[in-house]
Amino acid sequence: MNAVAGLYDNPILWKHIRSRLRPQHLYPSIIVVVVICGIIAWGGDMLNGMRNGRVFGILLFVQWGLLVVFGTSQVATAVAHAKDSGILDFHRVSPLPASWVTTGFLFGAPIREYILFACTLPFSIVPALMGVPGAAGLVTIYPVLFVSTVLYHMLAVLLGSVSKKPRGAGSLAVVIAIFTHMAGGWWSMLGGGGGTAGLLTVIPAYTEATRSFDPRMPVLGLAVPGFFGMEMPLFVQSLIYQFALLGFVYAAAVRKMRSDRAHAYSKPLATAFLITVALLSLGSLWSTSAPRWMGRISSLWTVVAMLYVVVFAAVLLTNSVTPTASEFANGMRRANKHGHRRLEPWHDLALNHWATLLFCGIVAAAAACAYLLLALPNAPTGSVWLPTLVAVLVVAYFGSARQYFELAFGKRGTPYFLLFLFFAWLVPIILGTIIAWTNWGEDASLAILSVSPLVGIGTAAGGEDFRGALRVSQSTNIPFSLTFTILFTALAIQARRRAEASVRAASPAV
Amino acid sequence: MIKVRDLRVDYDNLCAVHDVSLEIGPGEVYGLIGPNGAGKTSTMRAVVGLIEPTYGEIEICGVDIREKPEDASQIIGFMPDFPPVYDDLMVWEFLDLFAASYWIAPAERPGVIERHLELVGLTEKRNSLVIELSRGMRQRLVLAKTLLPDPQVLLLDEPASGMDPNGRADLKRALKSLAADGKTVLVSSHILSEMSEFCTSVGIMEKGRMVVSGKVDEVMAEVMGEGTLVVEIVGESDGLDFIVAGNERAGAIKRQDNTFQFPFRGDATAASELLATIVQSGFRVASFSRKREGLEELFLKVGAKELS
Repeated sequence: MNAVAGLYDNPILWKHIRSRLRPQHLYPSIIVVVVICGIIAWGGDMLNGMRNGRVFGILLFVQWGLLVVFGTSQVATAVAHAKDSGILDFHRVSPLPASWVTTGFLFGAPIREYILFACTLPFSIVPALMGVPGAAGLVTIYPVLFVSTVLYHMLAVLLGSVSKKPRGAGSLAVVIAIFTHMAGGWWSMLGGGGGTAGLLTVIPAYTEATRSFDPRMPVLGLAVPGFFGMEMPLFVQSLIYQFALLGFVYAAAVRKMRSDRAHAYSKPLATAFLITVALLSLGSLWSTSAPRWMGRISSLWTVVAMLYVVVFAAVLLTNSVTPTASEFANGMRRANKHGHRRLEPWHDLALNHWATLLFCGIVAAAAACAYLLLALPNAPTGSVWLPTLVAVLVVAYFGSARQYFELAFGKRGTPYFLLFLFFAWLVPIILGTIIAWTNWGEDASLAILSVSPLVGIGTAAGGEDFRGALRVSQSTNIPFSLTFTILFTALAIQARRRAEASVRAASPAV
Repeated sequence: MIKVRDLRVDYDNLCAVHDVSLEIGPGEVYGLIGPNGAGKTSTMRAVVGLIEPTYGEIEICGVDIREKPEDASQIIGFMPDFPPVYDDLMVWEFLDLFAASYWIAPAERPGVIERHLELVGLTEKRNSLVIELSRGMRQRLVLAKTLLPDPQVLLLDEPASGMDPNGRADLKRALKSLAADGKTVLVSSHILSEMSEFCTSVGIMEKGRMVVSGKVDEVMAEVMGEGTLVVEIVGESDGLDFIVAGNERAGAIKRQDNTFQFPFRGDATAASELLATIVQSGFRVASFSRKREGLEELFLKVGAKELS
C-alpha cells in the first residue's frame, strides 16, 4: 500500500471518477469549455495576439479559473458535505488510512475540472509554442500552476473538514484563493520581500517566463528575491514555497480527516510550521534590497513586513494550539485518572502557555536574524528592537488572552475575545483615521493608530525618512501590549487554577 | 469480543457516558437500551473509535482501539442511526467503494456485492442511484455496507428505524445468523419488543450511567424479581389454591375462572416439582407456563420512563 497505490487504487478517488464523470454531466461542460477556448484563440488570432503571449495569458487565466476557482470550491464542498452527512465517519472507521482519504478527496473531487483543463491545453500550448512564452516557459509555468492548484485544493480539504456548513466552506475557500492571487499578484509585481506572497501563486512564474521572452514588457520594479543568497529562478522559488506550505496544510488535513475532534495542528507541528514560515520569509529577504518604487525607505521596512508575516502566522497557529475549556477539563480528568496532576505541555488538550512562549521566541529569533542578514545593526537602536518587542508582546498577549477567554467564558469565550480584538486592534485604527481626516494633528493620529498592532509594529520601527510624528508614535504601542501581556497572563493563570479546582472538586477521589 | 472498562465521554459541561464498563462475548447480541440522551450513541461512537473518550479502555477482539485503530477497524462494522450515503453513486458503486476501503480484492468484489445485495433484498436496485432509494432502502444499503467486510464485531445504532416489516424481519434473521456464526453484536434500539427476540444480553443506560447489565435472564430475575407461573385447569379446580399456597416458593394467587396466576421464586426444577404435585393431586392440567416479562417491562421497571 504505497503512495502510488494510494493514488490509483484509491476508493475515494474512484468514487469521484464515477460520480463526477458521468457522460450527461461531463460532455456539456467539455463543449462549453472547448467553445470558449476556441473563441479566445480565434479572436486572438484576428487581433494578432497569438505570438505575443496575449492569447496564452487569457487561456492561462481560464485554466486558473477552472482549476483554482472551480476546483477549490468543489473540493471544499465535497469534504464539507461528507462531513455534514456523516459519511466521513464511515471512512474514519474503515481501514483506509486518513492519508488515502485526504488524497482521494484532493484529486477526486476536482476530477471534472482536471478533465476540462486538459481540454484547454491544446488551445494554450499552440500559441505558447508559436511565440511567448515558448516551450521553456511552458515547462516552468505549468508545474507551478499544478502545484499551486494542489495547494489551494489541500487548503480546501482542510477548510471543508473544519467548517460547519458545506456551502460556507466552498465560498470561503474560493475567497481565500482569489484574494491570495490578487494580493500575491500585486506584491509580486512590486517585487522585493513582498514578492514572497506572490510565490504562492503562478503569477511570478508567468511574469518571469513571459518577460524573459519579450524584453519589451517591463515589470514594475520586479526584484528577484533570491533564496538565502542563491540566485534562483522565480518558478523554482515558487515550487519551494508551495511545497513547504503544502506539506503543513496536508499534515493538518490528514489530522482532521482522522478525527473530527483533533486540533488541526498539534503544538509541535504548529511550532515547526511557524519556524518554516520564519525561515521562508528570511530566505527571500537574504539578498533583497527594498523594491525600487519605495525609493528612500530603508530596507528596515522589508524586515517589518517579514515581522508582520511571522506574527500573522503565529496568531493563526495560536488558535489551533489553544484548547477550549471543556477540552482542558477533559485533559485534566484524563491526567488525574492516570495519576498525574495535568497533561504534558505538548498535549493537544494542554494549555497554550508553553507554545505561546515558543512562538514569541521564534518571532524574536526571526527578527534578530533578519536584522543581521540585512546589515541593520547600523540602523538606529530603537528602530531595531522596538518593532520586535511589539511583535513579541502581541504574540504573547494574543496567546494568553485567547486561553483566558476560553477558560473563563467557555463557549462565549470566542465572541468575547473577538470583542477584545475589535477594541484593541480595530478601534484605534478607526479613531486614528478619523483624526487624520479631521486634521487634528498628525502626531495624535499616528499615536492612536499605533495603539493597534496592525499599525504599531510598523510605526515602532520609526525611521529617519519620516517626519517627527513617527518618533512620537514609535513606542506608543508598547505600554498597551505590555499591559495586555501581564494582565492576560495573570488572568489565564487564575482561570486555569479555577478550572483545575473545579475538575478536582467534581472527582474528589483523585 | 468487546471489552469496555471505565469509559467516560464528556461534551462541554455534559458527562454523556459516566464510567461505563461492559463485556460482550462472541456469539452474544447485546442490546443497549435507554431514553434519548442516555449515552447509548456516545458509547457506541467511542467503542468504534469515532469519539476520543475522556478516559477508559476499549478492546475489540483483544485490540486496543486507541493504540491500533487501523487494526481494530478491520474487524468492526458500524451502522449509525442516520444512514449517510453518497447520493450521486449507484447502489453497486456505493458498495464497491466500501469493499475497496476494506481491502477486498477487486476480483472478489462483484461476488461479494451481489451476495450482500441479495441478503438485504436490494438486488433489483443494483443499478439505481442511491438518491432514488427510500429511507428504509438506504438503511438496508448501509446494513449491506456494514456486513460487507464480514466483521467480527458489529455495532448497530437503531438499525431498524425507517425499515418496513420485511426489512425488520431480514434484519432479525441476519442478526440471529451473525450471532450463530460467533460474531459479537452490540445493538441499540427503541423497538424493545423486537430486541427481546434476538438479544442474549442487555444493558440499560440512563443519564450516562449503566443502570443494569448482563444476560437477559439474569437481568430479568434481578430486576423483575419473582417470575410468574400460569396454570390452567380443565374441569374441577377447587382446592388447587391450597396446594399452591402450601408451596413455600409461591406467592399470592390470582384466579380467573380455571386459570391461576401466582409469583414463583423457584427455578425450572422447582416449577416441575410443583407441576408434579398438582397432577398427583388429581387436577387435569391444560397448560403450565412461566410468564416471561419483556424488555419493555424491564425498561419501565428500571425507571427509564421516557421511551423516545
